[in-house]
Amino acid sequence: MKNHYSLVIIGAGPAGLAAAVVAAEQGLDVALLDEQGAPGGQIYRAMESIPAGRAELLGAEYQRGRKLVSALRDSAVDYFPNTQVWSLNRKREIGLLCDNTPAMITADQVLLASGAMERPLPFPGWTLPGVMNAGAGQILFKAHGIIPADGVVLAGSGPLLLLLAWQYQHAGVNIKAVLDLTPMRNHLRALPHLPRALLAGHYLMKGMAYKKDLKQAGICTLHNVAELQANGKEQIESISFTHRGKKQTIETDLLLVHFGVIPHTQLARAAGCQHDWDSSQQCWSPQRDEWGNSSIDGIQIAGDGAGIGGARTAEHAGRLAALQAVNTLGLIEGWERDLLAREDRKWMREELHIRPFLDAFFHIPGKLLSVPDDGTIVCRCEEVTAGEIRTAVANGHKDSNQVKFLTRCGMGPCQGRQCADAVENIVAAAGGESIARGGHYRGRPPVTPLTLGQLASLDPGETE
Amino acid sequence: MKADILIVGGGLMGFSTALQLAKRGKRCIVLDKESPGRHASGVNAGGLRQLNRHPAEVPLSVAAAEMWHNIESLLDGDCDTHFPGQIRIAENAEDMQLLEERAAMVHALGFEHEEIIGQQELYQLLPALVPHCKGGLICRNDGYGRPFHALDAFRRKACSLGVEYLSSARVDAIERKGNEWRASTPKGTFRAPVLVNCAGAWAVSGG
Repeated sequence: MKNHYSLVIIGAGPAGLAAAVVAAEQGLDVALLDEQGAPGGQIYRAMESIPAGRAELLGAEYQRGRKLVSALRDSAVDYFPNTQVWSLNRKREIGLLCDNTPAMITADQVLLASGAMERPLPFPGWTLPGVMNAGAGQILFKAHGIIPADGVVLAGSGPLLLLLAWQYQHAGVNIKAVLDLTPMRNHLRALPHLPRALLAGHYLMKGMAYKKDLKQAGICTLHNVAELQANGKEQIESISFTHRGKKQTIETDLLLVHFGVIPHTQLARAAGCQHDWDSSQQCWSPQRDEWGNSSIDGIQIAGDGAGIGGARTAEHAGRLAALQAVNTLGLIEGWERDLLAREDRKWMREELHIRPFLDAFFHIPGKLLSVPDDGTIVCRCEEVTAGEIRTAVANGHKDSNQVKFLTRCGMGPCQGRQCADAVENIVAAAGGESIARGGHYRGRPPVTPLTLGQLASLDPGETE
Repeated sequence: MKADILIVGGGLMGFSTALQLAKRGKRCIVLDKESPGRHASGVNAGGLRQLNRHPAEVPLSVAAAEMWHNIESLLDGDCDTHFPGQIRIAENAEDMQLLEERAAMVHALGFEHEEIIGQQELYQLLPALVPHCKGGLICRNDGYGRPFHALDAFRRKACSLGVEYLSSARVDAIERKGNEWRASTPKGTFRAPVLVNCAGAWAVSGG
């Protein structure tokens, strides 16, 4: 690895891959850093090693990634797998661990393509072993072909839940139930966005085809489910919930939940990029323009890390950001950038037709976001409960940072990744500042765990 | 709004000042540019130390230690204080000489809280210490607390005694009008005959 590149891209999912290839084609000196061992991000994980049969089960959308990954392999991009970025600042100094060896490098231009993460949502019993995210279930399947042996219950709200149910069903998994926590009133909420969504009708068709398949296979799907709870002592033994006013229980040793995805913003925050609260996507996203320029000169953000748009949108956004970087660094003129970007801009607009409908349809009800009972742990690292957070608010700590100061929530190894949004929701509902006013945890490097030994073994010439 | 005393800064200084004044029947307003204890008062090492203070600080630190040892009579909580003692260690004879001089100086000022200990007691207290040290200077009732919790306890006690606290009220300008100070903030202008600047690192800029 060199200690300076014209463009450093962080994240090798659809946005990062597409951007790296375009930027290298245009003559930039590009490094692509990624924490995984192989390119593809979460969505196209294990693309190069997956057996054909499994790839087919994952569907055509997954196999789209093959083109992106092979384009990277054919390019002049310096690609570094197994590389974690633990620091980024406004001077574009990047602290990283490459195969566990620390290094500091710099770049003229940085593109963050750190993607999305599943929205962590505390509910009673969510910390019991045997309760996992649907995304984790899907990763185990993609990367290792591991599927639940003794059946599974899927619960939550969002397109991934349906997709995973469909993939599991085709893989022969015993699906005990699919519990859809999307409230009925979301149909009304989404209705005004339907006409525009029809312009991207293939997504709707696909969703309906999945549903039909599941129904034909006799999978029990319950809609408008509420009050989800995992029960058990050492691990999950059963789940309970209400459906049509009746409380029900299902015995299971595995529950996979999903409540939509939110941008992964920790590096952008550590660098000091401005973020805004997006009330329709119910998440924070970094300020950026159409070309991915953030509020800090020389730092760009593309893909789901800039706001949820899906894999195809990320691919277009990645190319647009790369062209902007090439333009900023003086290799092409503005008009050339615009010309080269024409197709991607057009396709990106088409892709985004579906988004407002999906955002409204899968809007997570406020009650689910902010009312875990007092005993529910919200910050898993420091074991801080919803009750402790509410007490802190009642004692005058009116935003999530003040609550963090007092209770240590968000100060553990995950640095608040898992609890930040939940704490903001609870604080706002308990009488604190609104989320938009109260702000997000202040994030500081290192954003991922780093040992003192690793820090100390940095070449002194690399630090100031 | 008018008060007896305006206090600029919602850190430990500001709230301790406000608390003491409120106990004596004064009406105080604390103006804070952010949230309580947002800066040095909320995040520091939490040391409660008399050991090794500058001679000018010694009487104040001894009085402060008296307060911290009896903190529950002042506040509704113990601020998570612990007093295991603090030790300054001599690694060689020369260091030891300095510590003895220091102890003599403190005794000459009329204080007894710092005392010399020999090698044997040093290793009884700190068995994991590297083996070559000669002795130390100890203050047996020094300790530590949890800074943000302490700040919180001061704030809550002060407010329970009628102190008014305003967050996000950065003082943009202070002016003298007749017998009054006027502090203008985004939350309005506040007036009082006395103003105490407890703005910490921002004290010079007035904010």
